[in-house]
Amino acid sequence: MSEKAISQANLNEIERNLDRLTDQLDSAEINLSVVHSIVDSVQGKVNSVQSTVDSFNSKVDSVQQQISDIDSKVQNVYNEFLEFVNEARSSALINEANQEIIKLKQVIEEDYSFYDKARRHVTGILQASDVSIVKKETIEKATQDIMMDTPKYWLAPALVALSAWISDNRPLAELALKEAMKRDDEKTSLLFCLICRRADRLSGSMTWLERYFGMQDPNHMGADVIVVLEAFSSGIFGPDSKGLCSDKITEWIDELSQKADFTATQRVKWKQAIKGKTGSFDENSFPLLIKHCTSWETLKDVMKWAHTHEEIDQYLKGIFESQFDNTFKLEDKLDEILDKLVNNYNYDELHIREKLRYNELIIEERADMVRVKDRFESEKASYEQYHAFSQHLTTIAMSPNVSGAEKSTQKLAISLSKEWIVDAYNDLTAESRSNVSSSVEIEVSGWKGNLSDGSEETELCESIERHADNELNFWLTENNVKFRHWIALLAGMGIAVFNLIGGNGAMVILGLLITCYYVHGKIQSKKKQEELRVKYKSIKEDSVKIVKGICAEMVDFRKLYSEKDSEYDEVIHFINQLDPTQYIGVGDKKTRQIIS
Amino acid sequence: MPRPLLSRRENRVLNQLEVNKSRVSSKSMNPLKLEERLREKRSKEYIDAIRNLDSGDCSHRHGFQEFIDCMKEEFSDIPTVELLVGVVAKCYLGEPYEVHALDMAGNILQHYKTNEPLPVGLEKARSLANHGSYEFIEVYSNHMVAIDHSGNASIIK
Repeated sequence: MSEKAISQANLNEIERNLDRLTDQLDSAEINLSVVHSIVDSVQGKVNSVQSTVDSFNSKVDSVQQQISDIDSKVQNVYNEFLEFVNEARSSALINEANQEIIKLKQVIEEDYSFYDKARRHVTGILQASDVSIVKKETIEKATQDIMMDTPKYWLAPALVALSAWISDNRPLAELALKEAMKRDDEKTSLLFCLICRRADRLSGSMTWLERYFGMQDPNHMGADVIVVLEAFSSGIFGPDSKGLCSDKITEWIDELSQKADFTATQRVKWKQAIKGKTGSFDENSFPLLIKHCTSWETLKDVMKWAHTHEEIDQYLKGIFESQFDNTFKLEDKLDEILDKLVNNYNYDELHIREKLRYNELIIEERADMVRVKDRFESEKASYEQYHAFSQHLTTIAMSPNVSGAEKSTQKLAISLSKEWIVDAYNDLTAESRSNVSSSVEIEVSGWKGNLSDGSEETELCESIERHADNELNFWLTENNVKFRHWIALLAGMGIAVFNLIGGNGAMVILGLLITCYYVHGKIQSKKKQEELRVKYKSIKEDSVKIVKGICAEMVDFRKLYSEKDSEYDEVIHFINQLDPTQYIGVGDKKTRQIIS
Repeated sequence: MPRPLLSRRENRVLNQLEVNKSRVSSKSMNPLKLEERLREKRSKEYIDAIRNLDSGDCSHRHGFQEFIDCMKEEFSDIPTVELLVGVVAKCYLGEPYEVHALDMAGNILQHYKTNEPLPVGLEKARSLANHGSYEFIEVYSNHMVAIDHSGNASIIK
């Protein structure tokens, strides 16, 4: 009985405990429902935050895109502005040059107009005397007026001497001649050498020429020696002069060669002259190389030099392939040379003509001041009063517009300077070729590679792809879920689970909220990583395209360089076979005369 | 790194071959005179001797000695200090070899691959040697002389 009572009591106790447990479970169930609804509410709020963040992100992207667009537009505007500034500067320089040319020509007109009058009278008097249609008194008066109008000018008394000679007034002729020789002995001697030759007085002509030669120092000669070379190459002096002129030229060059640094100096001067003919090419054909090759400036220079061979070839052909007109009338040729003697080489005007030429070059080269400087440096020497004979040869050869030399004289000058030209040209070409590297560095968005002839396209593409992949991996890692997010997950879950058992609803909510920080971080990380993958896919594709483009341009570059560089052989062969004896004119005779 | 064409033992022996024997004077030459002298056309024998170095024929003393004798003959009037630092030429052994260089300091001829650096002082001649327009490049302390197939010289400072 008692056991039954005890069992009954125990059962009742158990029943009471079960009831209590049931109540607690019901209570827990209610709490869980509350927790569920709170979690749902939190989830809703998180979703709302998420969509706000998404919206914010897309606005940020949009702003970023706008910034990128604006940046690109600003860059375009800046480039256009620079172009405008350069064009404006060029226009200003060209306008200034034009105005300066007008001013300088006015100065020449004002200060030297009387000289012009005197100069015109030289051939005027000779031609009038040829046909005897002007009275001797008229000629005499004209020359006396010139004497009054142009004090100190050597040509004035020379004209008086000429008119006195025509009038057979020996005393006046001798007096005037003395005065002319006192003012400028060399020019006077040369003038009367040519006048005598024109009058078919060969012996008198040679006497004057010998006198002129006797005054010459090959280290220090006036530009009028060009007249001698001009007459010589045209055959004006006739057969008897061959020994006189050719021996004299040889003697001058030999004397100059005795100086220790003469040949070296000639090479330097010819290098300067040849550099003035440096070629150019269309750089716009290689836009990717310009942008991505770190040594583009060197590549540009070697390509410009390769194009120089064509420039020099055309320049030489323009001179040597021109036909020598040996059917000219002697008097006409002499008048032409006389004009040059009296017009081209007046030293008083040289400094003005130098400025004039500089401004003309600015217009010719469209204000490309680098080219202007190069060309002016190569011509500058011709505006100095005296030079070594060898420098005059250079001026005749490379600056005919300054020297006024005919093509026949240029041929003679170039062939006389052959050895120096060959040395200078060879040295410059070798120097340029030493800068042709078999491999150049290219850079694309932080990646660097070595490019030789474009055949390594596959390896370079693979390399830049690896570079892009490495960068992507780096940024993916950088944008992984952070350590703090993991801490939040663990802490949040721990708090939630612990308090769920304890029945503390508020702490459970707190734990879940903390866990949401991890969730948010994870979502952001995934989104960012996806964006990075898309971005780097595009970067990789673009980079590979650029590298392929660079390789293609390098293939074209090397091919073009090889073609143009090979033109050197033809030019050097041409120069090497030049022989000065081939370029002696024969005047009005057809027979070729050879100097031994 | 390719095996040098001359072994170390041969190098030591070559050092005893008295490359310096012909040097008359240790004084410097006038720079202008030196330049004129170096511009003179090289003899056929000298050019052939350098050509033979690339064919591998000088793996024995006789070939290399022939070249040294030829060089001494070619430059017998040039004093010690002005003599060659080395000679660099395009290598026709094919890839991966680009140039070969004769280093007078070590009396050694070696073939070099693309991007493999040349001895100090000879690297500056690499591009020019590789150009293909010159037979070889003589390298001096402060200039180079490019010799074409006919023996004509161009000076690069």
